[in-house]
Amino acid sequence: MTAITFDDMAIEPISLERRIDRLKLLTSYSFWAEVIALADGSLELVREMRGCVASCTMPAHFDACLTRTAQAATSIPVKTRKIYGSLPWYFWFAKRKAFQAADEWEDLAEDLSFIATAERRKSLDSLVQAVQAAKDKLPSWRDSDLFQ
Amino acid sequence: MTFTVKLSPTFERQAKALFAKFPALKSELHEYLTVLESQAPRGEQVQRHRMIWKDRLGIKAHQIGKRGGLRVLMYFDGSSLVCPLMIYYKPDLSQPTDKEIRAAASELLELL
Repeated sequence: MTAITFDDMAIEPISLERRIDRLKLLTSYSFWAEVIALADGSLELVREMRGCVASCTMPAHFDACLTRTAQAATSIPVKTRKIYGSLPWYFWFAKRKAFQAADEWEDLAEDLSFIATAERRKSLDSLVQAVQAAKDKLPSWRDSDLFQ
Repeated sequence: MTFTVKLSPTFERQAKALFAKFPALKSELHEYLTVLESQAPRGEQVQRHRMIWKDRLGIKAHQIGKRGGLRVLMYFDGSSLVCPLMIYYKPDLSQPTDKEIRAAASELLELL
């Protein structure tokens, strides 16, 4: 039906409004639905993934998978912002969701890269053990000289 | 429920350095820690042991948003204790290195 894809949008965003107009995509319900569904789906997926990352206990051999996923999560917001940023203003509702998703993809990439190596997880474990050992010796923040 | 907020030596040192860079942070951090006493935990759990949390913090007075602002690492194990462990400014340090995390642990153990 259409001769335009989301990859086209990423490659040639400047002429996008003209192309949408020329291809009469504004009267195509399927095009609108796809634009909205992609933004919706992206936001839903990234939120689910962030939930998983926070709550799952991943085995040590997942390091490579975590690193690859973090890399993918870094590239997604760039592409999303490029595509949705180039859409005309009347897609504002989809744009808003897509930008929100892009921000969350960035957060996911940050969270994944934070735990992506066994060495890092070991360091965090030692930090937890140190807090547990020293917690009675720590001052309350109200007694700290930080705010005196 | 109220929580006891205790600061690690690393957090205090890093916060002092950030106060020099962002003077307005002092009052905002005070406000943040006050809220932490009544609303812990904040932010998201860091996967694996579920005791380390990471929060994103903006600095309103300097018009810095959460995303490009500060990161606070804290310890919270479900009890009434919350320990902010590290604070850093993301544009300066995207994330602490393993060495820095281990140094933070050593600083804590020096208290014993």
